[in-house]
Amino acid sequence: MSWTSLLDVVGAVCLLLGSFLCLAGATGLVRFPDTLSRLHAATKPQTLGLILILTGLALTLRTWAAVTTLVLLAATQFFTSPVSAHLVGRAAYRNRCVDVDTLVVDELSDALERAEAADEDRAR
Amino acid sequence: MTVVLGISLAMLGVAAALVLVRLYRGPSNLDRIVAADILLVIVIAGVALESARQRTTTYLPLLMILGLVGFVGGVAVTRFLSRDSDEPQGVLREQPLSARTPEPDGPEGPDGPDAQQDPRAEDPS
Repeated sequence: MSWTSLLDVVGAVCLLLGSFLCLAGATGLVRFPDTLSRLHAATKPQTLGLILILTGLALTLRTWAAVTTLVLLAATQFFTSPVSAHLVGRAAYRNRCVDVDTLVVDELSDALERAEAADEDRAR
Repeated sequence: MTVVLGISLAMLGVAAALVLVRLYRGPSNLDRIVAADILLVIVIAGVALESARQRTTTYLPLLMILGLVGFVGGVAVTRFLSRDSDEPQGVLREQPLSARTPEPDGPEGPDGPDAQQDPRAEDPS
């Protein structure tokens, strides 16, 4: 087996795994009960799946221009996906899309209560 | 290679269909934002698969633009939905979580448009 066909095979496996992870993330998005758990299903398998697909594409194309562009795309995904997930989670909590009873740790409600109490003290 | 790409595309198609189900059912707009984000990631993956099939680098700028546009769009819509939360002392005093009922006129003043935008109010599931 020559070098290029080995790279082809590895790239194809990466593409397959990435697509499977995208499918897994979409399944979780449909089946999970509330917004935060859907966010969990949506961010982690999707990001890993996309990274795998981009790796497979880079292994298939095998030019430096493609590799640098795909590395840049993967890096932006790594940076932007947590930001948008954080924003969605915060908005979900504040819009009460979160079932608080299912949370194991809920530090934000304690912090909100403390801030509220401090606010009332100041108003007095 | 062709078989692998076919299987991958089929899985991506099923994933996109599932995401569309979530996009349709909601229940809140935040779920729809998450679903739209994921749909765009699936589109990026599909374009990448096509690029791998043709072995061409033509689609790489398209991938880049799709990724950035997805991020900007998701963040913009999320900020719009949570717009009552960024004044320094606004939300904690005016709308505490315990008192978040769909009453249009709280004692703190005019916050009617914010109180009406609670997505749980229309579909409590």
